[in-house]
Amino acid sequence: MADASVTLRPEPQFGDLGQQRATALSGMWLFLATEVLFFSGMLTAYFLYRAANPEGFAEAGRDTELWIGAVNTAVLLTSSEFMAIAVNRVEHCHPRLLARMLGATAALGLVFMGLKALEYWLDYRHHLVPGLDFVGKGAHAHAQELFWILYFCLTGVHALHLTVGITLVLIFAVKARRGVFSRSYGAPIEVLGLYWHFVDIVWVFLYPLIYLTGRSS
Amino acid sequence: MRFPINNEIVRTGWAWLALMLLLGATTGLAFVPLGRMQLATALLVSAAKSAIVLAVFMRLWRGPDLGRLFAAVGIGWFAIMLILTWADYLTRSGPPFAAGMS
Amino acid sequence: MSDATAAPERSYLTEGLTIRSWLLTRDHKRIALLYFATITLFFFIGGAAATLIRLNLVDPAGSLVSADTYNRLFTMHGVVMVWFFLIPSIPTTLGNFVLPLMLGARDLAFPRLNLLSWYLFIIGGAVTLYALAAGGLDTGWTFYTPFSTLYSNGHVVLAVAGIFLTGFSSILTGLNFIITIHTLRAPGMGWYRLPLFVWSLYATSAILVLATPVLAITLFLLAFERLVHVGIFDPKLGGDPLLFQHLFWFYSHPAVYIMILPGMGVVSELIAAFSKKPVFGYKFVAWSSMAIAAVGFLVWGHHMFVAGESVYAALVFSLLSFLVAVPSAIKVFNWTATLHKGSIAWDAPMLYALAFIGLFAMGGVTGLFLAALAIDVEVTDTYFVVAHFHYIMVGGMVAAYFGGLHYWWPKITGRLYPEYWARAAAILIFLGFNLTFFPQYVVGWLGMPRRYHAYPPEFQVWNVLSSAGASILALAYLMPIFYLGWSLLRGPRAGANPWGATGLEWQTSSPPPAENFATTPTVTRPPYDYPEPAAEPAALPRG
Repeated sequence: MADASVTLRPEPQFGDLGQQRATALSGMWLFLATEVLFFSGMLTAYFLYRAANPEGFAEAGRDTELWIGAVNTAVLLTSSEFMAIAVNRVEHCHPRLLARMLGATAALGLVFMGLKALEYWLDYRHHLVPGLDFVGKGAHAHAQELFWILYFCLTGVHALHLTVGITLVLIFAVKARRGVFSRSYGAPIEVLGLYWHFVDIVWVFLYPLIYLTGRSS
Repeated sequence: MRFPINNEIVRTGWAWLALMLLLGATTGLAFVPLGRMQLATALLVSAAKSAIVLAVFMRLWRGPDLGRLFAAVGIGWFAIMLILTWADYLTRSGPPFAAGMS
Repeated sequence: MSDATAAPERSYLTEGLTIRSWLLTRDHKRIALLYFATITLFFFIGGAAATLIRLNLVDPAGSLVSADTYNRLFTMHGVVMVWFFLIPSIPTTLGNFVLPLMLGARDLAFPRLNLLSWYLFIIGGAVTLYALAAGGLDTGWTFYTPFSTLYSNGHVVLAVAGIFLTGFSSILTGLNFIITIHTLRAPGMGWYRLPLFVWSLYATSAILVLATPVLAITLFLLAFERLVHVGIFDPKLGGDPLLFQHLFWFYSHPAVYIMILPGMGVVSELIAAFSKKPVFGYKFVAWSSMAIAAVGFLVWGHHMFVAGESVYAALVFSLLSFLVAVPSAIKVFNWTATLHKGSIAWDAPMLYALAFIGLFAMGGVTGLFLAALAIDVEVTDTYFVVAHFHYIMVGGMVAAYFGGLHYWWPKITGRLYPEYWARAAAILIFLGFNLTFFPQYVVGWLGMPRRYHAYPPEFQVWNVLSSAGASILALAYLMPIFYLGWSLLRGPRAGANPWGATGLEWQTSSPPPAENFATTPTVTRPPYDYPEPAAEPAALPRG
């Protein structure tokens, strides 16, 4: 499968590679719609409990590591930039540059995960892990715990998605170096790109909900 | 290594810059007391960032038609969940809105 | 009926005879059979639980099993029947097999994803079965919190993990179907030339992909709360148990439309084929499937009328629940109009389709009763509700499944089943079903609560009737195993189109070759293109 000069054929159920590519992209968009619904439940819960407990959520929000959140947002947005360039590069047949862009994307994803691990460790040190040794402060301790439960669920599920993304990007980077992808067979990169950008968009919404709550008081 | 530039790469570069600026804006605005508008403002900025990612990076308007259909349906169904759930919570007192619960 | 023919030399069944060729297949037809074996197993497991339930309820003291065991039995029955039989049934078996054929396609859009769906299904099923065998759980299939998260003694997390995995099987199947219907239709197969089964599979798939992810996250949050002992549904923290119900029913109400829409699609095919007439009001029937799918997402609060939901929200959900009945009614009217002046054949599939129409209509109408707030307050959590949904799920959906199974059996296996035995089974199922579940309407109306292992003695006669019916139903369900199994060995070979029906699936051999069609067909005719009924029996048909 490594020789890109072999004539590529579509899978038997498709008429041509163009149809295969359009179908794969449509399939990924539909999958992303299901992912929106997957996150919807937790977000609905978040908005509900935030409205019911504004002070508790504000107090809890102030305990989050804003600098890690902000840096991580910048990291992910930049990784999306690299991924977009990678998609563009595969269409212009630059396998080495494609591989490097994919590598850079994965690297930034790993930076995100590293900072996340640091953040979780800090949360643990500050007794902010529900079920372990959570310590709430003041009258709104229960609401703070609700916030932190949602924090770990939301960021944890997001991190799981990101891990899957990083793994796939790395696999594709290795394949790209071997010249598997070309202008006529670039769809997998674009499809993976859609997934990567979606994980980024989820984070773009999580960022203010988690890190920017209660900062103005 | 030569880094060839084309229109799309230029667009993504501008998009990245806009995203960074919006990130700065939303972070800065968090420290401004906006009262009831705090959450709405933050979500609006997030929506703007998402729109940029969707349009420029994800090629929402240049890709297959089905992409736009599925994106709209996903967002629309999240809206259904929010609207009808809130129809319940907005029209009753009691948990989780009961006073003295938290 | 075509003449008896020899078996085609090669078919999807002869293409590879090793176990490996089955377990690693990408052929949608083989995957359909893999699913068929699996869901049949689950049907009998769920049925075994039902048998024990009905045996226990013969006696008002309910002394066959303890109260705790009874709770575990009805939980097992619900979990297995909902997630491991009804939801997959028609889509993964008949849908998987027939959809590409109906479209004139070579396979689904993503064949490997299709195989992955099956593996996720059996892994999820194995995990859940293990949980049940290890002692099960007593929460009911609805897992209401805080009982399920903080108080229940049972294998909640294990069972929920199995359902979570199976959910992804559903999502991937729905995704595959939607994309296939959009992109792999044969040349000339416009949307309004599609068989109505395809429309209903599309609507079902839309619900599968939009609702199931919500179930997934809800089960995740439930498991989190149970494992960590704190969670967002816990009242001690200011959490709302009703939020769990909102999220759970956001999925589970549309899920009942996942269960019934494919059955409606099959009935459309059967009514047309066995009346030799196009379905009356094709566009209305097609779009009614879409309407059911869409409006079905707006009614979930009717499961929570007495749970603490606001009365204003309850009003809204009640009105919307009335609305969702309309497209279903449209289908029933159009099927009836199709029968009118049709050339009716009384083969087993038609018997099942007719049973569906009557029993679904009864179940559906009682749904309207339940949608009315004042009535629901009285009958919620009684056997009236149990009867309502069994009329739809068993009287309707299972009948449609059996009808479709018999209709496409010649196509799938290349054999004809014995019609006499099939009709006998269909009639026995109909009689057994009504004896089982009609008394439940009565006893529910009289006030017998559901999910109770014992009951006041004045309800005994109805329970005995119901259990008697269940024994007939059980026997009747066993009959197809024998005569369908017999047909595999000794049944006459089927031709390409034994029913003389329209549709691309009948234009290829029985069983079909692995590639479905020798050349991709081109569609030029409208759907259900039956000739006009002859004025006199001796006249030759046109077309």
